[in-house]
Formats: sequence, C-alpha cells, structure tokens
Amino acid sequence: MNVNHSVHISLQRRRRPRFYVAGILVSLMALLSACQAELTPRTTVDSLRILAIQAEPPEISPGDGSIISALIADPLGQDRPLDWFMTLCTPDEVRGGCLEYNELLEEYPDPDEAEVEYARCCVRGGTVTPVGGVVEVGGGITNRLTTAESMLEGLDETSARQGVNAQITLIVCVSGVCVPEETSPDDSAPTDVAIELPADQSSLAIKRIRVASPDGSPRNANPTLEGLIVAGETFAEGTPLAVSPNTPYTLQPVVSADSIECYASVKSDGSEEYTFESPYFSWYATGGEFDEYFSEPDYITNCSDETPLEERMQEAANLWTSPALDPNLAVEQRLYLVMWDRRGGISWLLMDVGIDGE
Amino acid sequence: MRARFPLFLLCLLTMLSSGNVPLQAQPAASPPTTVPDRVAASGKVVHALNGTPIVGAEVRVPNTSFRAITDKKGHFRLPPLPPGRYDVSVEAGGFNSVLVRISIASTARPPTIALSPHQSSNVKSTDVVEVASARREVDEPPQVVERVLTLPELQKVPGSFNDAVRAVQNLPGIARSPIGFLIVRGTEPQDTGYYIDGIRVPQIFHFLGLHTVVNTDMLEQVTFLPGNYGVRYGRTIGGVVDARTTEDVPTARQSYVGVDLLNSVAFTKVPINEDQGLLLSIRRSYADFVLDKGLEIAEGIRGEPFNVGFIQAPQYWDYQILYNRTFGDRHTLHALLFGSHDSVRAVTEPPASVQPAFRADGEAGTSFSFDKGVVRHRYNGPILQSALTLSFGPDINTFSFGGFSVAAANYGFFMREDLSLNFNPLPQLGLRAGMDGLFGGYSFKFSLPFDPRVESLDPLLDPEPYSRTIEGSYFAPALYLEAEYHPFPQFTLISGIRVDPFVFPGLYSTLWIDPRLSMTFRPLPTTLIKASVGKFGENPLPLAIDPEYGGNPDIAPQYAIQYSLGVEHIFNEFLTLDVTGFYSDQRDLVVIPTDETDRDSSRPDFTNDGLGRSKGIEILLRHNPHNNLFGWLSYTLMKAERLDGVPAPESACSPGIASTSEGACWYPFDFDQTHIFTAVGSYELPHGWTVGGRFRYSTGVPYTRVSNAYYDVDRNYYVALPSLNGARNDARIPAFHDLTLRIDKVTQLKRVKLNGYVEVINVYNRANPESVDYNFDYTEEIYVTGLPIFPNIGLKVEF
Repeated sequence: MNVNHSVHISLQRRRRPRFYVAGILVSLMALLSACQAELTPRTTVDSLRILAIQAEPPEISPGDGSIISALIADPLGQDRPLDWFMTLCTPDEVRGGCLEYNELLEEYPDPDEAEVEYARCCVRGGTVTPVGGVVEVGGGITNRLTTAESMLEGLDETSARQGVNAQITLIVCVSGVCVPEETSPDDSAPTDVAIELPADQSSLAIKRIRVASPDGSPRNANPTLEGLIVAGETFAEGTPLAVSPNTPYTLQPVVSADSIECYASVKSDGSEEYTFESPYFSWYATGGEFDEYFSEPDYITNCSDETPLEERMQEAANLWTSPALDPNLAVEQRLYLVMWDRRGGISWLLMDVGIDGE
Repeated sequence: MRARFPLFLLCLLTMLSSGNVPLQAQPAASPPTTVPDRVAASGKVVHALNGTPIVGAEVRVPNTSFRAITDKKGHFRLPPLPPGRYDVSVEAGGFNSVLVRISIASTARPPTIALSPHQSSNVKSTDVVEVASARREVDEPPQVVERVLTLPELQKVPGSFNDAVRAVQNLPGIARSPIGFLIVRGTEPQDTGYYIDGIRVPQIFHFLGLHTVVNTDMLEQVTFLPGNYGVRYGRTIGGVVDARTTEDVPTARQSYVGVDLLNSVAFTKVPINEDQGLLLSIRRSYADFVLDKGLEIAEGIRGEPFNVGFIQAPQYWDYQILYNRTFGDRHTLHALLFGSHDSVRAVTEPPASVQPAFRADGEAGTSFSFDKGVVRHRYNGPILQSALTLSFGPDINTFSFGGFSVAAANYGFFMREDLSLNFNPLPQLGLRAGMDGLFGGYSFKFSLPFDPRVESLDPLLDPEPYSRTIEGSYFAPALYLEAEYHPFPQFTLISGIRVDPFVFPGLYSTLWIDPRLSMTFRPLPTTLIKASVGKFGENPLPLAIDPEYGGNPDIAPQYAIQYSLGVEHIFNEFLTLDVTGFYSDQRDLVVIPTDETDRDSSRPDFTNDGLGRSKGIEILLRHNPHNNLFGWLSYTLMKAERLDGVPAPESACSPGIASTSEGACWYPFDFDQTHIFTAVGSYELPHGWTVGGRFRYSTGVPYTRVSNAYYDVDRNYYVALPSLNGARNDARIPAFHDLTLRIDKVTQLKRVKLNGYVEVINVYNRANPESVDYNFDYTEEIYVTGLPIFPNIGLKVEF
C-alpha cells in the first residue's frame, strides 16, 4: 500500500449505534481471517509512527485546559525534522467531533454564522526535530486545549457527570512532504483544510479528552510508568540496557503506587460504583520479538482488595526475545512501553537497548 | 437441462418407483377381486428433455398380456383393465426403460410418461428410475429458466462429496462463494430463497457449503431457478432453490451407511405396507477435526503455515424422518420431520487489527439451526388438484465474539395451498391459483459488553453491559393466480400475478403486487425460444423497520424487475445447449448509509436508497449420460453493480465505472465475478469404475482498497480509511481456479453393494485468494487463501 492520500483533518463524525450489523460483519471477517503469519507484528516499530498521545490532565471540566503531548517513533529518521498538524475540536451537539464545511452550510445557510461555528475547530501546526528518533513529553509537540464552558449545556445531570469527549487529531509528517491545502468551494465560505499524506512518511492519530461536570469526585490522572524489571533487575527509565543477542528476557512494568486508581463509575441511573482501573500495557521495539503485543496486571475491581501492587504487576510481564546479531541491524535498539488506564490516562517509557555481541 | 413438459398434458403426475425396484417388478397392486367395469387405460409417452412424442414405445403391464405401442403422437391405449394402480413398464429404442405406477379409474386423467435418452449399459436400471422421477407440483407450469437436477449421477460429480445438490454450485448464474452462499445473478445471498418441500428454510447448505441440509437420497428432485420464475415463489429478488423430498412409498427395504473424511451418514427406507412407508436419515460431520488436523499435517510438511481462511472448520448434523402414505387413488399424505444444526467455534488470539481491549478470551462462534415439521396432503381429482402443506418449526441463529453476541430466532408457521382447476371453458387455457402464508414470531437479541450509547473512551471499560431484544410477530398471506395459454401447440404464454401483503402488527404493514409474464416458442422440435419479464418483491427485515433500534418504518419493500431471453437446443439425444441472457434491475434496495456519507443526522440508519443492476449471459452445454460419459460446461459472463444513492462528485467514480446524472458512482457488487466457468465430467469404465474431474475458474471478487488508516489512541486500534473520493470496490483479488479429480468403484458382494471413492480437491494445490487481510495499521496486505489440496475418501455400504 503505497498510495498518497488526502485526509481531511476532522475525522470524527456523528455516529449511530450500528454496532449490531457492523460488529457482526467485522467480527466474522476477523474470525475468518485470523491468521497473521506473514504480516509485520504491531510490536515492531520500523517506520514513522505515533505510538501514543497524552492529555495532562486526561479529564477536565468545561472551560479547563489540558496539555497535549505525543510519543512518536521515527526509527528511520535519524533525527530528521517533522511537521505536525493538530486540530483541537470542541464537541458538536455534545457528541464531539469537528464540523464539516458542507454540513455547516446545511445547518447555517448564512456563511457568517457558519464561520463563527466553524471557528470552534482550530488547526495548529509546527515543526519539531526529534531527539534520537523520538518526540515525547517536553520534546516538542505540546499544545494546550481549552474547552468551552458551555460544553455540557443541555445534558441531564447523569450525562453531564458521565461526560463527553473533545477530540484531538494529530498528523505527523516528514518535514516538507505534507502540504495543507485549502479546499473551500468558494471565497465566502470558511476554509476547510486537507493534507496530502504520503504513505510511509506520515502518521495520523486521534485522542479524546473526557470533559465532565465537576461532581466533587477526584478527576482521573495519568498513570506513571517508572521503569522495567528485566530478568529480575529493576531499571529506571533512561537507564540503558545491555542484552545478549537472540535471548529471551522477561520484562515487567514498574508503575507508581497511585497509577491504578479507585474511581467512581457513574451508571446510567445516576448511581455510582467504585472500582479499580483495569490498565493494560502495549509493547513495542525496533527489533526482537514479543510473546504478546499487550499484557495486563491481575484484574481486580474491588477497591477494598489489598493485594500488593507488585504482586498484581507480575501478571503484566511479557517475554521479549532480543534480535540476533545482523550486519544490517543496528546494535542499538529501543523498547517502547505504553500504559493505558482505559479512562483516557496514558503513560509511556523508553529504554535504549544495546545488543552485546560478546 | 430438463425438458419443458406441456403442462396441459400432465394429467397425472408420473409416479416412478424407488431405486431398488427391479424393472420387472410385479404390479404394485393386484386387480381388485371384485371387478367393476373395466377401464381403457390410455396415455402418452414423451421425450424427457423436450417433451416431443416418442413413437413406437412399448407400454406393458409386466407378467400380463396387456401391452400397447405408442402412435405417431406418442399416445398409447392399453386394453381395458379393472380400476386400480398398476406398475407399467415403458421401453423405447434409444431411451432408458422406466417402471411407472399409474392409476386406472374412470375419472383418472391419462398419464404422460417421460423417457430419458439412453444411458450407458453400465448404468443400472434402478438409477434410471430415480433419474426420471421428477414430479411437478400440482399442474405446476414449466419455468422459463430452470435447471432441474437429476440426482443419482450428480452424486459422482467430482467435488460433490457424494452430495448431488452441491452441483447447484456449478451451474450458470451462480457466483462462487468461499463459504457456501449462493450468489445468484448479482444478488445478495439472503435474496435467494431456499425451499424444502415448498416451504422456505433459512439455508440449503451447511456452513462452507460442504453438504446439503437434507440427504440426497431423501430427495426426488432439486430445481434451481436463477430468475424469472413463476408466481408460486415470492418474497425474494434473487433466485430459488427448491429441493423436494420423495413422495413415493418405498416398495422394498434399503439401507446404507456412508463414511468419508468429513461426515458419516446412515439412511434407511422401509415399506410398512403397500400404501405407506418410512425413510430415515441422519448425518454427523467431523469436518472440524479433519480439516484442522489435515492443515496441521500439511503445514508440517510444508514447513510454514498456510494463511487459510478458517481457524476451525464447522461441525454440523442433520436428520430427516419421512413418512409417505397413499389413500386410494386420489389422496396422499406426506409428513417430514427434519432439522439441521451447524456450529463453528474458534479459540484464538484476536487479529492484530483488533484492539487489546477484546481480551475476553478471543473465543468466537456462530451457529445456525432449524427444526421443522412438514405435513402435506395431496388430492388429485379429475377436476381439482390440490396440495395443502403445513409447516412449523424454529430457526435459531447465534453469533458470539468475545463479549458480543447476537441471537436471532424465528418461530414460523407456514401454510401453502396450491390449486389447479380443470374445468376450463377453453381447452387451450389452464388456470392455477394458490396461497402461501407465513405467520409467526421473531426475536432478535444482541448483547454487548458496553453501552454503545455512551461515548466511552474505551468501550470495554463501561461497567454496564448492553443487551436489547427486538420481538414481534408477522403475518404474510400471499395469493397468486396464474394462467397458461396455448394458442397453438408450439407456443405457450404464462401470465401470473402475485399479491404479497406483509404485516408486522403494530409496527409496519405493506403490500406489493408482482405481475410476471413468460412465453416459450418451439419453432423446431429441437429448439425452444423463451422470454420472460416480471417483478419480484421482497419484504424488509424487522431490524430495518423498528425505529427504536435505528430502523425506518417508512421503508418500502425492495424489488427487482427481471428480464430474460434465451434459447435451448437439443443437438441429439445426449447433447443440449441452453443460452440465456438476463438483466435484473433492482430498486429500493435497503442500505445502511456509511459514516462517510452520513452527513445528515436526521437520516435513518436504513434507507431505500440502494439500486442494483446485473446483466449477463449464461451458457450451459450439457452432455447427458451417453456412451459412458456425463458432464457439462457452464459459463457465465456477468456484470453486477450497486449504487447506494450517495451523492458524490463525478470525479469520484473510478475509471470504467459509470456515474448517474446526480454524479453518484455505480460500483461493482461485492460478489461480482465477470467470468465464471465450470467444466464437469465423469466417465464410466468397465468393472464398476468411474473417473471424473471438475475444473473451475472465476474472476476474483472486488474489494475496497485501503489507502490509509488513522490510529485511535484511546481504543488502541487503527481505523482503515478508504479512498476519500468514495470509490468502492476499486480493486479485485486474483482469479480463482482449481481442479478436482475423483475415482469411484462399485462392487456388488451378494446382498451388499460397496461404493468407494477418492476425490482430491484442488489437485495442483493452488493458493486461491479468498479475501484480503491487513497488518495492524493497514500498511501491508496479504490474501487469505482457501482450502489447499485436500483428499477425501469415502465408502458407502448398501444392504
């Protein structure tokens, strides 16, 4: 698949619950096509790729802001500069998503009024140079999203407490290859933006931020990944690893004590149920093979359960077999670990790995 | 290709005895001891393929002196006999002899007896009887485009797995499907109606199309109607497959056990007395185990895995209990209890494109099952013929994948009454009327591990599983009326009208009228020209109309206007050619607008915005059993397209794809296959050996190219983006072709007959692409391939 592609940067549209048909078809296809023997596994990072986007904080009240950061791997880039484009959109009719120009014209025949509405979706961009092929927190792509105070207007109390989503769309391209184009059909209308996305030199991702009414309960916080236990020894993030070639290693995430939160889940009848988060981990590497592409700790929902965190985390271990020595393969490899709390909270860490040939 | 019988001559349906009766059997019933007035028995003998009279055929009652020779019009007249039922043998040079049971009574109509062209000397006479045992419904007219399968020889067709009905998949007009669906003339699989004994069943094949849901030996004929059929069939815009179980009372006990690598089957038929008998069959598959282990062994030999399109093959089983009884000369009772159960279950890791949140256990499964009871009373009077069929039974389908599940159930009562009246003031005119009614209830339950109405960051985090049930009832009493007119012997005009009400009480009601017109003209005794046009309506499904679940109560029945024009020619007694052109104009198709086009939030999930059109030519060159050779060549040239009524710029249409005046693009139908070719043949060798082969070729099906994907960070999966210009099905997978070879050996050991066979599917181990698979972010694509080389070995023991 090497086709240049033009993508409108507003991706989310109003959706209806067509799960019953689409779900069946997708699942049936999955059932019939589950053999992946010849395809690159998702754990292998071999091209420009957005691995995660973090919002800090991941859950906010209307009118509050959140800092957006991204983890982007560009193993082939050798620190080449990247262009990035980001849309920060507030929800439309409390369902979220950017508004399309044509859709706006139907709702607002007066272009001036449409322009006002369209301004709710803004586009930002810039250029950043990764360090060591990675852009991460503080490394460059950092933006602040401020939501409108009226976002939850019209919702009943329960729905407002459950919240709605604001959406971020992020496009990253090798510098100079992605060219935004204005695509408005006439001069009197607001501008829509399309970006040509050449395959293998761009990456496109979306992230949501939960916007809910302040009900007194604690807001969700991002978890914290502190390091890795490799073959029984703990390594903090940033500590380089040295491994033997073609050797299996058990990797276990180390998280901070408050990373798995107990939170109040708001049911549709307005009642609350307290439960532990059920996080999981996605594993990536520039070389070698993982046993599983994700892992998760011992699944416990009861907040009064006192099972030690370390014990629960043993279930989240994964087996990684380091790459064999190969003249075409760099001896310096990189591991990426991303943690999801399933409520919008995300954390990640990177580990540089040296393949010791002796 | 089966012959068109002039219907007005079919006064008494041909009643042929079952397969194990020697041709020289005694009369089925001795003449009554109290002898009333004798009746002169007369009738007609015709060519089974073209209905032309057979001159000089000998008709006689075995072991008596009663005999007659047909005249130049094929008529015969036996000396007067006491009223009763007699087995009559009919012999003619160049034709297979048959043994026919006829009724002789003062009020009985003269029978028409059809003879098939001569088969090879190796074919047993018992086979011949089965071949010719086709029976029409009450004075049912010939269909303009029909392909009647004569069953016994088809069991030996390579690739049949000893299942004659599977030959339907090799006929013109049907696109090849990897999972056994019948894709008829560019319509969806669900648009083709499957009938057993005239009642609609949800499926005719087990999953993957491996076997028919009814044992072939329970059937007396299978008719495939690709389109332009009569008004007796309705509620479908596609084709019809009608399998009819035998109504003959067995005259001798016969049993067999069949075993092959995919399933085992046991069958027996037992005469209770001369008026009633019983047939039983049960089948159980173990295809899941065999295919799984076979693949494992093949991968071991190959040293690398196959990217085949199944994880675990299906399990299935079916049963049939059939009871037939005659009451005097005019009444018969036919009772069938049957069921079919399929399940597929796989335990596997989810594909890479599925997010990690699908972590339940990766277990997926689906099942299809139905159980039905059918009772039919047939009355065959001199003026009125009637067949009343009643049926009841549930269809239950389930699907599950991780925490998702769907269960659909249909508890339907079916009633059909087919009537034919013979008091016509005009001898050239025939009238038929009937009704087929559906009454029942349905439920559709789906469960999700999350509430889809809540826009959760991670849908599987939502603490509230979601489950909804749609329940209701339906009522659909359809009526039809058909007239058949013969202004002169070579010309037949059939016009019919069908009125189809369909009511979901309290929710929806509709009524549509389907007029249909057909004509046949035989300018030469060996040539038949046929033409037809008609409307074919189809009711919407409950899911599409219930507004509570996104349905649209204003939706209309979808329909098709079908046209066909063709010619049949009989070159000689064994070689026939059928060429038919068709065009199907499908309108008001129910579609679900895609997200890409759903710009209007007030638009319902289901609309009638779909259009379809398919056109093509079907060619069937058939070599009937002759000189030990049997087979056919089938070729379909077809183009099937869809239009979902989605406005798009004209530039969006892919090269070669037409656009409408509104700019929307026609796109290739999901199962569109331009060329479909099948060659089937078998040759009988001395000493009970038969060899055969089948070659198939079909153009690859289209698919929509994925040009990019975006990463949904919160849900940790990639969402494919098709081309922004809206082009659909803008690519095709490579063509399919394979070769199957088969060897049969029949051995008679005293009272036991052994029939062993070996067939090898996909002899040259072609890795046939069946669909496209992607890596996690859709940057790589590979083809999912179908079954590699697969040998099947079977043994059938008859006693």
